[in-house]
Amino acid sequence: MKQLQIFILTLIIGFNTSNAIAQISENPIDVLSEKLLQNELLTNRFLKNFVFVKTNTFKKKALADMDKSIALFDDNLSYIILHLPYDRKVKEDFLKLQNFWNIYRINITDFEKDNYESLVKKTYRLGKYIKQLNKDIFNKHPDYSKNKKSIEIAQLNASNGKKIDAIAAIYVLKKAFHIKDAASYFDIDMGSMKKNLKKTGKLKTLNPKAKNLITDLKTTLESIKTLLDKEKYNPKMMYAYDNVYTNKTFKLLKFIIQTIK
Amino acid sequence: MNKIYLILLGILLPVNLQAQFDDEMPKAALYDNAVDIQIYTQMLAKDKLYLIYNLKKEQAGNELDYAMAMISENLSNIDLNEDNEQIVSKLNKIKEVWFKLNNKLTQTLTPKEFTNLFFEVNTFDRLVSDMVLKMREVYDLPEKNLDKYNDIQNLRRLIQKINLSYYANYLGLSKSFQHEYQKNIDSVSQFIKSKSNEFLNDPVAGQSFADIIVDWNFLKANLLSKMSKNPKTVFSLVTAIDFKLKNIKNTYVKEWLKDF
Repeated sequence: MKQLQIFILTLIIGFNTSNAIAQISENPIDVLSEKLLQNELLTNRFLKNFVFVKTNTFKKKALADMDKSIALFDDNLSYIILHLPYDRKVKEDFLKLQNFWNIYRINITDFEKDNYESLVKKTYRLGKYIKQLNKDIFNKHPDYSKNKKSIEIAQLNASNGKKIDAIAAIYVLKKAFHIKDAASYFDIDMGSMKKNLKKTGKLKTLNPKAKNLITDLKTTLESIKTLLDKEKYNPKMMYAYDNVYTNKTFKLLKFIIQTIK
Repeated sequence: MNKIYLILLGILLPVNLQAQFDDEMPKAALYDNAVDIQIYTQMLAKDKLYLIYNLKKEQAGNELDYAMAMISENLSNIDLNEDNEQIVSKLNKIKEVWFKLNNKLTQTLTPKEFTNLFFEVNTFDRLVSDMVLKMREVYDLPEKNLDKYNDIQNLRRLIQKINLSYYANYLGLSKSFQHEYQKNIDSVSQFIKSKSNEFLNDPVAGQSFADIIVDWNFLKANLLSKMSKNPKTVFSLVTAIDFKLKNIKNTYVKEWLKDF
């Protein structure tokens, strides 16, 4: 069954690739980078929305955001597969991610279940697959080396946004559901996030508007830190800060990607 | 087989599904976000005062968290979608004040510290009002129900202000609240008197507005009663009225945004 599955997919990928090569040579790395990094940024957003829905915190907003995030992730995956001019390894990575995502998408929207620990582990795996695929695609892209700096900065910010979603999810998992070891699955060093923003600010070709965003992101990061230090459990504020941070990171990513030629 | 079907479906999904996080928000939505901030501002001052005196602790705490979260989110929405330099410059000042105010609101305050906080809330409110006025001037807002929208939002703001000044007076905090209090009660009474017919005949507000008038009359009787003073009842009535007014305003906004 698995062989049949791989065979069908290879056929589809082959077909789509032959259609897409012309587009790739016209406008490749910046558009592709945006799709890849948006999906990296979205990695923990599903789990975050799941826990907010389950705790009835801004439930409507969290549900709407879940739909929007899944749709964007799907759009990006569709784009990526249509523009996969690379080798067998990349295609295999994509296949792993696509297979996993199809199941994960069902699990993470099953709000009847309370399988938090399993979802934490699955989210961690989703992150691993995305990271691997992105790494392979970037490393093999012909235009990667000349845009390495900008792409690395964009990656740092995607990773920051991803971490903020993880922090928000862990906060609720710990305080509302008493799941203490969720943090062990995610790298949430806030000090490194601050450094990432500092590095971003040094990118010379960045649009001046992006500098304001960086200042805002630093402020929001501080607010999140203060909230985490407080004894009082305040999921509404965490939801708001997380939204402010990740939405602004989406915009910042756009500005950084504009510096990619 | 199901798995294969899912995979194929995933691959063949249309590429052009629009689900961007950076989709521009329509100006009418940004305007609504800004006006809502004015109401949340009054709400949080009132909630903080109730919290300081341990009254309606759970409800006031929840409402305060909600108001603070919504202010942060609405400011961020405006920030992400606004390019007009005059509005951006006003917004930057608001963000600066909000950052400080936000921190203060999460601290435990004494009654004396509340008075200082109240001045900061007023400064914040003034800055937001200034931005709202600029938006009215610059934006091409939908004409349908705009006046009614503004009336309803103004009513929400006044009701919250009345609650705050009522409780501040009850506690004997400052004389400045007394003047505010009477002025706001008169404004609401005047509004109800002059606009009732218009809103009762409005297809959106209609029945809800009839309920609001009943609630207001009961609230007013409580506010003016010399026999019994009950800030708990006032809090609950204000929450109930605000909920109904908010539903009316949301319907107006939904109508504005249905074409976007």
